[in-house]
Amino acid sequence: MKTAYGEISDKYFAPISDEKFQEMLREDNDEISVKTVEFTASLADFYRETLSKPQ
Amino acid sequence: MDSTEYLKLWNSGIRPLSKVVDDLTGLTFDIKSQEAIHFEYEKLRQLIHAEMQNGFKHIDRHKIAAAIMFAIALAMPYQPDNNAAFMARVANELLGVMTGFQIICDLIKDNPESDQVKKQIFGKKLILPQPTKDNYLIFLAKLIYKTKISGCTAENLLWLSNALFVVEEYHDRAARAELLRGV
Repeated sequence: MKTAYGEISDKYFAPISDEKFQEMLREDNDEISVKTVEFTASLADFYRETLSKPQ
Repeated sequence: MDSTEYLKLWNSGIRPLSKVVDDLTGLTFDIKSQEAIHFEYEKLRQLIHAEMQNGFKHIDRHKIAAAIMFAIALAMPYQPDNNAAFMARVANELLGVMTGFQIICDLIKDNPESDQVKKQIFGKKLILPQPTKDNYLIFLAKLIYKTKISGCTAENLLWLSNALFVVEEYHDRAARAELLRGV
């Protein structure tokens, strides 16, 4: 389903058991990564700028 | 957050966004949760202040957003049934995340230090990171749900507020890049 917060898989809209719910809660923990990162500056620049800001 | 400020958030954020969550989950938001959410928020805000060096000053927008995310999750204005869909089971957390995002956007737009571009790009939909398998809204809702079950601490709140700072920067850079490309 398309939402204002991006595409949400149909699997989240089907009735599920408690056991299946617990299983789905753990799904992301195997691999946390992002598909695309399209910035004009690199992430390294971002962290450098952020960390060098005066506190 | 005093009662007047909270009422503004209730009317401009929580209630309208609860209608979005109602539609996504098929559940009905409990309108009587108004006080409970405020009560949970104040408890969490005090938890954050206790961890700050200068605890009597205002907390920043990321901490406010993190506290409201957990406050809504803890107050549980939605009561999903057994065998409900995943979206319904994390309805409270979804509403919390949506409201927290809106607080960040609203406070940026109200901040006199924000430049015009920043005000403009935080007036549109947020560009969120795209996890490989999932949706970032669901990803955050899951983490908040699990944290709620294991017990919300000041450290959890500070970690989440830090993540929200990075999410804000992610959107800022992605939205400015879109503007440059003329998207």
